[in-house]
Amino acid sequence: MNSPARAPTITEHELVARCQRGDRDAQRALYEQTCERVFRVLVRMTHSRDVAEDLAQETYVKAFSAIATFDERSGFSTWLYRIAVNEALQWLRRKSPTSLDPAVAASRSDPRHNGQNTETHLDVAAALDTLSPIDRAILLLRYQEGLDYRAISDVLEIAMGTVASRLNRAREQMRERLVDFNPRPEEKAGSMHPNRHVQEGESARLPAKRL
Amino acid sequence: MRCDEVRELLGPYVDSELDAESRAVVDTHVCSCDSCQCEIRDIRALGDRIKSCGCGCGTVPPALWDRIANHVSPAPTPRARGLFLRLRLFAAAAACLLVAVGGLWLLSGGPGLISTAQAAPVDFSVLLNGLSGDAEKAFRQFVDLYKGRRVSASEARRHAPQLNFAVPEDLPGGFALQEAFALRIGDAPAAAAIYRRDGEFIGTIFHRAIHPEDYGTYRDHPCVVGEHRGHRVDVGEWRLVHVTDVTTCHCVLSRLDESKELPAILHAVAPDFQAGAGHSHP
Repeated sequence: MNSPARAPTITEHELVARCQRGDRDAQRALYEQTCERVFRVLVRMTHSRDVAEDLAQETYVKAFSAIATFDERSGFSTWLYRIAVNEALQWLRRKSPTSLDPAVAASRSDPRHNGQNTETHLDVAAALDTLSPIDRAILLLRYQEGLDYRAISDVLEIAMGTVASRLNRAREQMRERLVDFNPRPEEKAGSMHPNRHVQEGESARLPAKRL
Repeated sequence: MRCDEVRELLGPYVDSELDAESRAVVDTHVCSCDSCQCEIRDIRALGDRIKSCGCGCGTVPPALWDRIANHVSPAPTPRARGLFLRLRLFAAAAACLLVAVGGLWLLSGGPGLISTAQAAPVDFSVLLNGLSGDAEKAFRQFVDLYKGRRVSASEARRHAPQLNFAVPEDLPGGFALQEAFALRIGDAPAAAAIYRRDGEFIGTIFHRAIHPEDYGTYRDHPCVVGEHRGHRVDVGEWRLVHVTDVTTCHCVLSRLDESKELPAILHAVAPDFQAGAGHSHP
């Protein structure tokens, strides 16, 4: 039996090339391929769907306006993430702390949202909110977006060793916050590793494959 | 290997970011260390908790694409493409005519000095070519090339409001502002400044972020300045370091070590560097 006919797959590279020639269909196709991830990371950073929508618009307008200069040193998605994260960081810098978007808040407190109990879910979200925007961005990119250190390094334009050390520090801060919110008996009893504290500004000595 | 030597590798270990050799070292240690095993479990558990902490993002607003499309230059319509094609043909014909006229002019004696085409949006060759001699003179030639006029620091900042940069009166390490300039590179405003410390010169240039820049015969190397990745061109003991965010390329010409004095200087001239928002520089 013949397999169903499939439309030929257009690569990201081809779509970028067509966008560089002003092809609106290619712009739409690139948007369709990437918009969920871009919107998701913006909501996660700003806690507001309205703000995320505005920043997503700005992200794509900037990207398509500057696509002629995109040199493909990194992937288009990485480049787009970089613009989006920078938009979010800029917005966070400009704005004073704002209240949580009601829709986002409601979903956070919904225990059915991901099968976790409400208390734990709120704890993690609240702990993330206490981090600096850049540390929150690193954790979101690593764990929620699944980016590896190289991709995070490309998105945030920081060295890979800095990604490792910042992740160490952000994880450490998260664990401290989570203990503050909801101390567990074993943590009170001091089962934490005695040497796990990372000094401020310390760069992880990472004899890693891609440093 | 002791716990305190292994601990900072445990995050990259869990994230599969270590090379085989380092991974083997950590494996060996962890096999016999209960506390590091506990640490690894904690790191994994935290990762799982963050991963499963949804945000209620919901679906992408259906009107988002229309909003974007309204703000991005539309693709050429078939009619416009026809017009575009005719314009290209006209341009090609005009270019051929110019080449022919120019060729005849050269054959007839010409001016003796032919300027080369400027393929690069920012041509650093006049600066880089001069670094083996008088670096400050070369820097001033670059400023002159882009119609630099001497202004106050605040005027330089106002001249290019769309760029993110600063022209402080003093830079870390005892460098004092000598001169600031308003430049124009193509149709875009740019700025530059000269600093000095006991006769030692530093030049800064801020221009619109444009990729890629052309360094001609000069090779550029990736570099890390503080927490920012950039690239640099070395000419003798001088180095021109570029760190670029979405809007601005921050260039610093100096003989300073990029791991020592340069990070603080870069932070001073790029205080709002977008990728570094919310964190301090070492």
